[in-house]
Amino acid sequence: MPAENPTPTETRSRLEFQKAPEEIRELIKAVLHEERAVMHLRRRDDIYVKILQHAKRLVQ
Amino acid sequence: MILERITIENFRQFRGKQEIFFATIPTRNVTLIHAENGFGKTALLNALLWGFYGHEGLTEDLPRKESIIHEGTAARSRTPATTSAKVTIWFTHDGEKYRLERELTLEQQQLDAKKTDVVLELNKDGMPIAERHPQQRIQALMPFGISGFLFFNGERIDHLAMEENAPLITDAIRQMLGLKLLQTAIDDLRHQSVLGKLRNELRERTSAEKQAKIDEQTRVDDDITEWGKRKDTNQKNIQATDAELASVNSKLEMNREAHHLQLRRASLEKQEQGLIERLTTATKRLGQIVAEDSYALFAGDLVKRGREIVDKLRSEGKIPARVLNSFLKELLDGHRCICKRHLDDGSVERKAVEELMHYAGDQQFNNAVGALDNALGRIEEGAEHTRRTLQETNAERLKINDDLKAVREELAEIHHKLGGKADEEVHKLEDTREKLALKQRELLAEQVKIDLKLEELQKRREELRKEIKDITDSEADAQKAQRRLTAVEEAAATLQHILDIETAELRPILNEEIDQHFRKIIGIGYWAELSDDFKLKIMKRLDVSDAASDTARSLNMEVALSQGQRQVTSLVFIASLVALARRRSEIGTIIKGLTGSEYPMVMDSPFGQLSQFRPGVARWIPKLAPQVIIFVSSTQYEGDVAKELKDSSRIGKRYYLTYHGPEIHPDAKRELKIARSPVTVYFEERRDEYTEICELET
Repeated sequence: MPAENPTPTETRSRLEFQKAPEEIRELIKAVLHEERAVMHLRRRDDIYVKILQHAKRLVQ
Repeated sequence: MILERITIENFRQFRGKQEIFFATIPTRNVTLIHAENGFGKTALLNALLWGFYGHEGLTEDLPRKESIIHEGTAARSRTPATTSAKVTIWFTHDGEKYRLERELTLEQQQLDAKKTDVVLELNKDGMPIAERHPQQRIQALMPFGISGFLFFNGERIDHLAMEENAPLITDAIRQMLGLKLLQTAIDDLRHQSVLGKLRNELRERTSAEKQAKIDEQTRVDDDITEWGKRKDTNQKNIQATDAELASVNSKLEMNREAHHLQLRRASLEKQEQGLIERLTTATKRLGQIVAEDSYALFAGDLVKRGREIVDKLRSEGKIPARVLNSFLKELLDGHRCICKRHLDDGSVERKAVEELMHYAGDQQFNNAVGALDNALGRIEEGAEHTRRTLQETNAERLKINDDLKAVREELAEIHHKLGGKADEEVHKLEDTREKLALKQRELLAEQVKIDLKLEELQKRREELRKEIKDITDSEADAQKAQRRLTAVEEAAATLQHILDIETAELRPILNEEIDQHFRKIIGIGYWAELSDDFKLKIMKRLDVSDAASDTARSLNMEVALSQGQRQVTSLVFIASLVALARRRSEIGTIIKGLTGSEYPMVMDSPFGQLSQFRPGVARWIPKLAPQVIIFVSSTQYEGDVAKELKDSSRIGKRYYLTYHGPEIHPDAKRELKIARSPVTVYFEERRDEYTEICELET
């Protein structure tokens, strides 16, 4: 069972991620992509707008 | 990141332009800065932090944060637009060379000292290229969240090794090892501006029934926020009280009259804690046995009756059956016996076979009685096992209770002894300690109450989430709004799960580092570990003999930590994080692009409360990180520390701070024996107060 013996590339967290539905995976990827650029900033009001836009784009 | 050089101009007590070239060669990676108390160690640490993060970076213990520019210089200035404080730092990060400059003019300081000018230049083939968003870039190179673990006052890090600070440890791991991205994403997905908006969109389109549920969920969320704030406040109060208690304990430990009793008390308190944990486990186990297996004990009568029935059937020869009625029925239905005789209706032969039916047994009945017999045997065995386990567990619980009682009696006795001491200092300290301990108990009880309330609210929120999701909307746009809300909630939940997995997976790797570092300092018999619930502990193995069974066994015991031990443990923890950050790319993670990064460790007074661990830490400190910068006073340096650091041959650069002012700190020396001939470090100066940085030959 791959879930029990994750290889270095197939970490447990990656397997957990793969278990999520496609729509959720895409949303997570999009959010993480946005967060990378601004995660260290104190003021980042735009991030909420961007997350909402991604949720609306991906979930029709 | 490796720091190469810093220049400080008119920053706090540094008048004019001062500079330090840091040791950068891996084999001579230690920069040692000698500074007496009150000479500017804290200001120097803050110069570095201000350079990187501005006002936000200044440490909590720095007084008058709005006054950045050297006071004398500011007072004499007639050109506030050009008088300024400036810190310039040259550093390398992942092979790139940078120059960072932060400046605050007097004019700006008078308006708002928090607003500074910052320039960050990347040196590309000899050409300086200014970063467009310097602060953002600095945060990416060395996030502010990790600065507290890289630039710190050694005497104030012991809080990491306090039991209740497990959340700080978890946060430190996430900050230093790049998992903060996941936490930030989770927080933002769950933010009112995202989840709240989607919920409102659904509310506007859905049925009245669902609207009511959404409204309740909003109220529950508000309550969770409110209780969360209470928890934070309570947590801070616990930390503050704990720090006060630690300080009182340390004073008692240092007092000759109270020394031994205080040490004994620390050990007993740790024992008490261990016993309470064991008692909780034993009580839980007892409850579990009663809930799951106690039926066997109460089934005694039924088992007895069952046995009587089986025995009776056996004695009557009904089990096992000599002949089966299904077999006889087959013969009768076939009108033919196995001896080939015809079994015609009314015949003597048929009658004889029909007679046998009275003695014959049923196959199913036979099987059922067999199964009953088997089950009775199992219940009897189970009852015996349950009875024995219950007795043993209960005996263990009683024994723990007795031990606990003995420990508590001895603790009370110590309190009475110390409280009754003629020494006024001990008497007062004991009094303060008692009040603080009482306050701490109340705060901890409050914490339990808050946690229970939060658990209840979170459970309700989850129930409501499901209930809302399960109410099917008739309108298409309401259905869509529901799907979007669910997607965001599930994305946050998935990320939370991933973050928990990654943090948990880092724990054993970190534990290896911690243990490896810790053994080098403390020696044989002790080890440090990060427990399953992220508490930093020092353990020791204790061999105990069991008189009853005449055997010996080993017990792993947690050691009561003195302030010095907590400081060592915290230092080891930070060093282990820095070491792991360096080889981050070797450790599996879901986050793309996490590379290993080198970081310096800048420590103000790391030898402060270490007592007997000083030589071990001094020997090992150069190996802590790729670059180590230490600020040290003469009282901490002279003796073991000086010898160990000298023997390590790792000191690449040495500086000392000279203080020019009207008065010298009572602990400070005017001359230091840090070179071949004594070095004067204090100069009386009545008009102006300032500190200078001077280099020493290594």
